[in-house]
Amino acid sequence: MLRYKIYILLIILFAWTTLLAQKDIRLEATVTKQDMSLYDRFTYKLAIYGETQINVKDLEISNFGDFNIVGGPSQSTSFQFVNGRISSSATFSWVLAPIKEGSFIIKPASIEYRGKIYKSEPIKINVTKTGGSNPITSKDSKRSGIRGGVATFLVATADKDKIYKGEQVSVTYRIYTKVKLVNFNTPSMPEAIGFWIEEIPQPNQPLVEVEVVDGVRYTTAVVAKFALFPTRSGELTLDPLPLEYKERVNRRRRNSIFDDFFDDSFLGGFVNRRVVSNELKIEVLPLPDRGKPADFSGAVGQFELSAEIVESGAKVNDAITLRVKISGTGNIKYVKLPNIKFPDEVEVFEPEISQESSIKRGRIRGEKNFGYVLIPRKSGIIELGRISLSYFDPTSKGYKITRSKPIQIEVGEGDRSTLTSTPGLSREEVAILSSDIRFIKRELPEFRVINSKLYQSGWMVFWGVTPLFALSGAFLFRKHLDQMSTNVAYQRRRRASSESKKRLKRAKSAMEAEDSKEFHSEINKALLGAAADRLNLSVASVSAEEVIERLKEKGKNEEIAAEFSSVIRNCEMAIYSPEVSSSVSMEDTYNEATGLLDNLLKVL
Amino acid sequence: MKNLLYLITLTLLVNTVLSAQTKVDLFLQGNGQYESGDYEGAVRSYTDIVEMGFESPELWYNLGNSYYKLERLGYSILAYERAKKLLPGDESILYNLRAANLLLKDKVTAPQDNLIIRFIRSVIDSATTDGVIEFIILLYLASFFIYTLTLFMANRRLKRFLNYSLISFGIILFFTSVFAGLKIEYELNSSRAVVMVEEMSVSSAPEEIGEELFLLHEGTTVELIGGSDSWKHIRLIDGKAGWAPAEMLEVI
Repeated sequence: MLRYKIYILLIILFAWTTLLAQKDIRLEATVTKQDMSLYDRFTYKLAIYGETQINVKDLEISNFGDFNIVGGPSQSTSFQFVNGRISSSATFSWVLAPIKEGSFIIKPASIEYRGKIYKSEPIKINVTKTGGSNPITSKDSKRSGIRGGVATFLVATADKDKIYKGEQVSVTYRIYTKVKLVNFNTPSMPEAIGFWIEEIPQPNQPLVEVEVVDGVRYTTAVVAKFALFPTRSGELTLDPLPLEYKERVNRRRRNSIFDDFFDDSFLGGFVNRRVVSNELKIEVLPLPDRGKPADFSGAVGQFELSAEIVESGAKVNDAITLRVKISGTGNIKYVKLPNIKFPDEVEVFEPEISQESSIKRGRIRGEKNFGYVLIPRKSGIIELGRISLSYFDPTSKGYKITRSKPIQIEVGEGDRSTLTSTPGLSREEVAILSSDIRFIKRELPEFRVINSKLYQSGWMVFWGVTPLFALSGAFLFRKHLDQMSTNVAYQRRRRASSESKKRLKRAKSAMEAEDSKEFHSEINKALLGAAADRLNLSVASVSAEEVIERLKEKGKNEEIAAEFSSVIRNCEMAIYSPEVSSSVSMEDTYNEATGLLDNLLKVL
Repeated sequence: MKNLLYLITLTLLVNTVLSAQTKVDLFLQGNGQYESGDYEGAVRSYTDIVEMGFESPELWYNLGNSYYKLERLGYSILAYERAKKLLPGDESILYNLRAANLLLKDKVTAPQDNLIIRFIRSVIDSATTDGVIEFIILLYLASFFIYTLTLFMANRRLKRFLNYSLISFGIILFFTSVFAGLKIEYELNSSRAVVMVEEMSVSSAPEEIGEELFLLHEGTTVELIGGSDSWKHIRLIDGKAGWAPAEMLEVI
């Protein structure tokens, strides 16, 4: 296609053109430069020298597949008569621009002339990143002497060539020129692998200065400035930065009367050009391991941390905000959340992070705000302690720590009922979703039979009925006590057996002491007393005869009556006439009396 | 013959002792399995105790936790509800039951009861039936004791004091008895059940003739208001009612 176009062009331009016929012709191809950068342009010139007219229709030009045609072809012809000989030449030139890096060969052009084919030489073109055989290293980039003769060049300089990882390095691109610069575009960001780049904005009207480099006066201006933060250590390379600019050119038309008109005029005379800066190498040192705090997260620079609780007078289950602010110069973008140990009674939500950065005296400084939403689940005072951030200070080459004031949240008693009545996804639901269920109970349980119910068990009946019995017993006892205190007859009846038993006991001890008188007296009193009590008579007034009579009255008690009278008589005899030794022994009397007493109590 | 009798008695005795032992052992074993993350094993140990015919709120609670960890929500909620039934006021049980309920597909929101009803419900829930019964028995015995004391008390002032306390005891006894009665009544009348299948359709009538009214998912608790052995008439707390096959429900 390209080739076809070229043909067409040639035909249109030179169809009429015939060169004087020469006996011999020569085809020469030249380029303005062979080593260049991707952003350079060069001129490819093809000249035909001969003694006769040449029909340029026969010129066959290879295509420039690896290059873009930026300008041309332009053509010039010349005739010369020297010593009667005519020499003619025709020159075609193209301005070419490389498309990609590498080495390329421009294929030879050929022309057929009188049955013979003439060829030009193939030309080798090297396209490299830096271009030219004289790459500029960062060391000698400043005030480069090598470029002394060049009309325009772009120099990249770094304010430091050895920095720590994360430390800011400022790279300045400065253009030097001998020609009149009209305008330059703001360059794009340089390609820098391993850096985080931020542009430092420059004034719209750059400050133009004059500087002498190697004895040559250059006008110079800062094109762009970038702040770079290396994200890894090692030797990092900053790729060359291309810059497009407009240069004013003088179109010198020979002897043209319009020269004065067109020179310096705005009607023309601008040329778009490109210039490429040097490559920059920056050595990035890793952060020292010595003294590196455990919570270090990559902040490099100078920072200050402050924290505060926004709302005062918080209540249980109310949201409160903890604002942590980190400000300072350095790689603020890479500053991570400070690690805050929140106690369990506080629920924490993902913090909201906002960030602002500005440039102050060529340094990036910024502010990062972390807004934590906290919901206290308990009342009381919650201690959050001091929040701290450790960072590396490259100026002092050491780790530092910045701390907030100690933070305390005073949580008042909340309104619990609001918790359950909140419609929709209540706070409580959020709370439980974000935590686990409670742990199992480990205390040994008291097992019971499944579905057993206490109110259906026998214990219920037992405990219901027992007190009733107890109460009736108590009633009876009370009644007894009442009778004892009011009813003499009852009292006597109740007293009879216990009273007589007491006397029997005394009698027994007397018997053991061989005190016959005492013994018989006690037996006598026991029997008489028991009978009297039972008959509701006074002990003092009762007589044996009366008792016997009463016993007989009751009937069928002859036996007891007889026994009673015999024992009483026996006793009285022993009491009143002790000298008459009794035929009955004390032991027999005692036994008889006890039996009699039982019978008496039964009968009466 | 006599020897055989001895042998039977001995085996029975040994059995009761042993079973008491294994209950505790199984419980501890289950706890150990739960703590080491073997939730399946824990479920097996805990259900073994249940199959032996014993229960306790702690057992149901731990079983609920194990099922929760296995993401078997129906069983988990059933166990928690049973734990809650035995120990209504326990905070951990209520917390975990709520946590499990949050994972359910069905979100049934109960209409808000008014404050008085809520208060009465919370009071009723604050004690177990057995606890109330025990309290009543104690109070009953104490009243009898005090009454007996007054019978024999000579000191007039002390007697009067005892009489007053007796009256107050009587009043308390009356109210707690009413309370216990209400509680037992509530317990007997309100039987609830948990949906045990992944999805269950509730129809407008028992058997297959009813039209499908709505779908319920595993773990949702429903109130049983009637029905037969195979079909249950159920009601949700928000008032929706319908019939569901009994085998898909498990009564708490």
